[in-house]
Amino acid sequence: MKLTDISTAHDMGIELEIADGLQAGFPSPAQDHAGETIDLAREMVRHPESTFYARISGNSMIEAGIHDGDIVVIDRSLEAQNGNYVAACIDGEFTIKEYQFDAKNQCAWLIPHNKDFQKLRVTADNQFCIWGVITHCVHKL
Amino acid sequence: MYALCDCNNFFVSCERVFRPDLEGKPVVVLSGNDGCVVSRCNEAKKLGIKMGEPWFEAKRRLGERQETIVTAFSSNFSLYGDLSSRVMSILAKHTPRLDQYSIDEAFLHCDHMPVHELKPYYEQVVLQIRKWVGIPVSIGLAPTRTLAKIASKYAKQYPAYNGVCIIDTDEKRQKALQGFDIEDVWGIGRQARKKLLPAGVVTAWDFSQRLPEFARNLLHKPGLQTWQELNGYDCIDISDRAERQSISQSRTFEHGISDRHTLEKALVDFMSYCAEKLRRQHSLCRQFIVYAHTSRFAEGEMQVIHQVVTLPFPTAITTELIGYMLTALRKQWKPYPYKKAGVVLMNLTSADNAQQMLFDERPKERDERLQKAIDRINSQYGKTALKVATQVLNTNEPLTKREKLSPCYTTNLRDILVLKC
Repeated sequence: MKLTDISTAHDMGIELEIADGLQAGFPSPAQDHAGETIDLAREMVRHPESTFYARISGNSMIEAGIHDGDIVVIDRSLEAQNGNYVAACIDGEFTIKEYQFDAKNQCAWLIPHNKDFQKLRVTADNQFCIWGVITHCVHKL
Repeated sequence: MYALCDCNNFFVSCERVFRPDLEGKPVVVLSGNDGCVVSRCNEAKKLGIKMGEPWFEAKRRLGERQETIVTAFSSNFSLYGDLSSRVMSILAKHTPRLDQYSIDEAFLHCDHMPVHELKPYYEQVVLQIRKWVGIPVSIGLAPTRTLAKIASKYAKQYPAYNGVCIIDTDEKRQKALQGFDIEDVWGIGRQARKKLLPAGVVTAWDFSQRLPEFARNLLHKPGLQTWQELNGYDCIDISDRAERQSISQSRTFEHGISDRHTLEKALVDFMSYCAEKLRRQHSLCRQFIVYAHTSRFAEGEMQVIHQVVTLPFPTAITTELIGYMLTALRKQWKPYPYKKAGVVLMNLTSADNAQQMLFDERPKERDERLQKAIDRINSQYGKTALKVATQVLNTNEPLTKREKLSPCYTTNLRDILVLKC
């Protein structure tokens, strides 16, 4: 995906003026909507200040549709809920898994979405933090 | 009332956002060329590492014992600049007016809220910035900017304040000033201290209790303003000090330039021109953009070089600006036929009120004398009699040594975090 900046088109001499100087004729109903466009990045980023991107390396989340090489959108402003996919740092290593808090056993679980992988128990003995909540996954076909 | 928000150990804190494993361990950030320590976490301070200390000396002194292993990073200004703008953007939502003062400091106007609500409100802001961006900040609240700065130091020092300290009564003001070294007061510094000590002024309180004439005679108008601010009279307007404009220069080339030397030469000319203009209006710049792009009409995708450079210190020295510009440019360089290129200097401040950076270890006076001499010769013998020779630089080497540079996690898609999965 390539993003191209077209905002400075005017300094290249392109005039995209709507002819509102013309008195005759029906005013263009499109005039009020000039400049509107779909910006995917804006749709995926609710809080620009707390949004970061990361690249996936590995296959433990493949059944959740998250593949090796994908780019995920992380929002740090969100509070991780049970069942969220999170970017977590455990003992110095960043990983992505489903998050489950286990109040009864005073621990948390990091759950892979690939039957070949084991779920991971997180206890007070681990250096652990939830770095952010995954909101989107960008997968190139 | 004002709030001064200051990021704690900002550069180190930025590195730790992406290295949570370094939380609680000694970390330092080094200056350009990996020369001196310019940012230290509290653990590094406890090891006795000094601000501005040459890194090789600190290493030798600490030896190789396990408990003194310090993680060092080269300065990664694209990372710090990005995280700084995130912090500033959050702060802007919590004030009717924000004046950014440096990469890690901003003044917030907060007369929009009853005084007794300020502390709990800004405690939430401290938590929000910590969670959203990962950066710890301290906030000082007071009726003047000078007092707000002092309050922020207390907020940083004592965890019981929850990151926010307010000076809202005369008793609190007195107590705060009595425990505060005059040298650490905003606008005073070491030179002024030399004059104040013999007169018996040790703390900020001592200074505030003297007559206003004392302050004016010894330290002139800025000294009088500081005296007034310490006594609760709001009189320093930093928006007067900061001129919010930009200087730019760009050109569309007749034929696309795909040779790096030729493009660099053009950009060096643009930068020299802008820097000269900057000096003529007695300004310094803290940030600039260097860009180049291919034709918008050619076949295929348009190729763009666009680098925003946040400087570690404000400057108007041509050679410094060129150095940072070329380093930034070379990071993104690819040989395409560039049709347009330019530079934009932004975030300008007045040279007369430049904030002295603690870790500014540049041979400043020598550079300024050299710059003045060059300007004089050029005004006598023609604008470009003396130029910076880019061609003598070994072009495959980065201009500064940055061996311990962390990835540009937030500004370069190739450098983003990797999640093991």
